Formats: sequence, structure tokens, C-alpha cells
Amino acid sequence: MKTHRIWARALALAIAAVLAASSAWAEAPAAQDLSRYKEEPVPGGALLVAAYMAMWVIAAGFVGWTLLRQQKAEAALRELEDRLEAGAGR
Amino acid sequence: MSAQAPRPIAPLLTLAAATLLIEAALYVIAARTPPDVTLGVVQKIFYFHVGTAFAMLLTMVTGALLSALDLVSPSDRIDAAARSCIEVGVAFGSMVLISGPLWARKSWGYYWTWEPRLTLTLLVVLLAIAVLLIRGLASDGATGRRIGAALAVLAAPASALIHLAVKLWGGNHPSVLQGGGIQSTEMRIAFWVSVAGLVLFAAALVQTRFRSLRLQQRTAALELDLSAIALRRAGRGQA
Repeated sequence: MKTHRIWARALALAIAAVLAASSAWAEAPAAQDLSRYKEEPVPGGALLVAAYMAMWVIAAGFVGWTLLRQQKAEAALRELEDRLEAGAGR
Repeated sequence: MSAQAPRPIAPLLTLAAATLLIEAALYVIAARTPPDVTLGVVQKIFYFHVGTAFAMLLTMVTGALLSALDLVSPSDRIDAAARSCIEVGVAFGSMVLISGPLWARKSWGYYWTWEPRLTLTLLVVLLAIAVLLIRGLASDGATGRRIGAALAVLAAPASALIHLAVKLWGGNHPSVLQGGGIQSTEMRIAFWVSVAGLVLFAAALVQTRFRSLRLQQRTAALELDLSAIALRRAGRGQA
């Protein structure tokens, strides 16, 4: 169990480091001229942001729902173990 | 069996790889790919829209094949794998059905049209939702499982038709990959890195959900065993 926790922390740290480094790197080539797209009759930028946000909201919702189900199953299993132990004690 | 059983490292590694690829894809999409000449910035929806569609098709077809296998030789393990694939397929299908119309609003001038690929995608997602509802609401678990699996099998040919719809019946969808629609190297990199990242993300979600469903199955089996033991004890007590 401890090994897995160490692995998980190391992975989380690696991901955080990559995220921070690439975010800093991404700021460099901000030379794309998007000004002409601001005058569009249908706002492409707003549609783009809405699409990406919706995708991440759905992904986060699914992950959250899975975690809730997992926690419920683990709680049910713990309750069963307690019942088994109480039964064995009798 | 303990609730504190060691957690498998595979889903974590898949998720880490997916996170790195998605992060790289977001960087290339935001900073390196040029806006499309005709569509402008909204074209950047395409990279994740197609990636989520790939992931949806893969999970739906895998779920359908596993459901067929479960019908032939029933196994709790196969059932959990099929169900987790279909659940993830519904999540990715919803992403496709939201991001697609937002792109279409700019590209076609309207959010929705009943063209073959769109209609089939909606039908496959509704079919998968029906499978999950049948599984969740059936009072008899075994019957619900069989009916759900039989219905889920239909997702395989329907998903193949989604892929072939443009070739077979035409419609508004552009044939980007075959038609040379990806104009530059940066666009190709953004596209394939997005596809790889999102497919890996779907795989990580399937692994996580599979583990959760197996835990639920084991808990249900233990509860049945415990009830049987309690009944036997009660019977002995009466005798």
C-alpha cells in the first residue's frame, strides 16, 4: 500500500512539473493574430471555449460519479467485514 | 478480502500518460496550430471532437463485443468489462454530441441537422443509455443483464455505420482524414496527439470503472453468502 502511495505522489509531482513547465513554455509563442476573428458574426472563440468547457465538465462529472460509486462499494464492503467479524465473535 | 486492498497501478499509469498527452495536445492546439483559413479559431474544436469520437467508437465496439461474449459464456468479469466500456462510451458520446453542434453552428450555420452520421451517433448514445437503464432498473438482475447485453451487441454494427456513414450516404460531415483536410504538420501533430491522449484517457476511465464494478459484484456476492449463512443458522436454531 505504501509503495502505491509513493508511486501516486511521484506521478502527481511529475504531472504537476510538466504542467507548470509547459504552461510557462506556452506563453512564449503568443504571436498568433486572432484580432480578425473577434469581428465574426458567429463568435467562434465563444463556441470553442464552450465546447472545451463542456467536454471537461462531462469528464470531471464522470470521474466524480465513479469515485462516489467506488466509495459506496468500499463502505458496503467494510460494513460486511464488520458484520462477519461480529458473527465470528459470537 | 479487505476494503483496503492494494490499488492496481495500471489505471494510474494510463491516466498519467493520458494527462501528459492531453496537456501536450492542448499546448500544440492553443499555441502552435494556425486558425483555419475559412472557419477561424472554431476549427480547433475539431482536434478534441474527433479524438472523443474515436474513443467513443472504440469503447462502444469493445463493449458490444464483450456483451456478445457475455451472452455466449456468462462471466461477471466480462460483464463488468462490457458495462464499464459502455458507460465510458456514453460519457464520450455526450462530449461528441455537444462539441459537434458547437462546431457545426459556425461551419454549417445551424447546430443540428438529421444527417446520417449525426443521427447514427445520437442513436448509438441513446442505445447505450437504454442498456444502462435496463441494467439499473431491471428487478431481476440476471434478466436485465441478458436483455442489456443483447441490446448492447447492436452498438457494434451501428458504430461501424457511423464510421462509414459519410462514404455510404454522404451528408454534411467533411471527410477530413481521407480528403487531405489537415493542412499543416502542426495540425497533424495536434490531431494525432489529441486522439492518442483521449483514447488513453478513455482506457483509464474504463479500468477505473471496471475495478469499481468488480468491487460492487464482490460485495453483492458476499452479501448473498452472508444472508445464506444467517438463514442456515436461523434454520438450525428452530430445529
